[in-house]
Amino acid sequence: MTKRQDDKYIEASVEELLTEDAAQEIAQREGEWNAFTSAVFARIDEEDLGVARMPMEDQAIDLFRQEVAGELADLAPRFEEGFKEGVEQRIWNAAREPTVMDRVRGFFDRAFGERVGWSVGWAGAMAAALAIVTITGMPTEPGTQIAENITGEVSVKSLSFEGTVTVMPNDGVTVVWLSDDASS
Amino acid sequence: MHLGTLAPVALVALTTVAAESNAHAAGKVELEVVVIEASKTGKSPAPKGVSAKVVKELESFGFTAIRVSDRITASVENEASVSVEFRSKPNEKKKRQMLKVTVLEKKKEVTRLKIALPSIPFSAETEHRKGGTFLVAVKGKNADAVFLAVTPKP
Repeated sequence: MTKRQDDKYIEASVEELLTEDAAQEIAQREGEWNAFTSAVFARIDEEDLGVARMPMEDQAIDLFRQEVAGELADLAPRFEEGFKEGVEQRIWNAAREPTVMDRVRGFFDRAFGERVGWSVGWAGAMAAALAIVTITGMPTEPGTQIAENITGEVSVKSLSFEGTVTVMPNDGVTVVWLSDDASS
Repeated sequence: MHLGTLAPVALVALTTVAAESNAHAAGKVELEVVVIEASKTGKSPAPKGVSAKVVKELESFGFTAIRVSDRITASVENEASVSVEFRSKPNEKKKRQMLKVTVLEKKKEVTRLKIALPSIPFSAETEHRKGGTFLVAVKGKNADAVFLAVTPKP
């Protein structure tokens, strides 16, 4: 039993010792933690103070830069919208411009006057086109044209004649004239 | 003299020394011989059966009345010949002459011919490319002439 009492005494002493150590450790850590936290906040406060202590000129430039960026961000949609409207307006104007037929019609109106009317002008244009086709002629078949253009060549290698002979080479045709006296 | 007064006598006797049934056989030459009577007096419509380049050539010599008295087309082999009888002068009724055309050689684009008038005598060796025409002119009286146009078809 004595031994048992000795054990209780020992256990009580260890518990007390551990409790005391834990309390000391917690107290130490809490102090360190508080110090760290206070150090962080102190650093932030220092930066704020640094910013607040920028020269007045730099602060003005920074503020102006921020304002310009904000204004540009606000105006960007307006630019895009204006460009789009401009393009649409140009397309609309192009569509309203006079076509080739309108220009031809205007030409005949100016040439023959409004009284003559468009039908007469149109008939005149068609007559002029037909006259041009008639004068210039319709295109012929390529084969026929080539055949007509073939002229050929003739060369005289040797010639024998007792009278007077005249050779006249020409494009595609070589003519040999025999004198009247010799041939009669 | 007007060409219309010329008697329509038969001028041509065609003889092919070597003739075959197949006119388009390889090695043969399509020869065209045209006998033309021309005069510097009178006027005639554009002749038919003769190429425009020949007519243009005759007109350049001052011939205004041009008439084709005969036109022969024959398929002739190498070293074979074709003979054409023609009237030596437009107003000549009795005297005839003979034109003899012999194919000496036929190549791809070149045809060599021997053209002869044995009665004169006249002989010439010619080389034709791409349908060139050899024109023999026999002068007559009163500004008349007979032309013999020889053309191998290309």
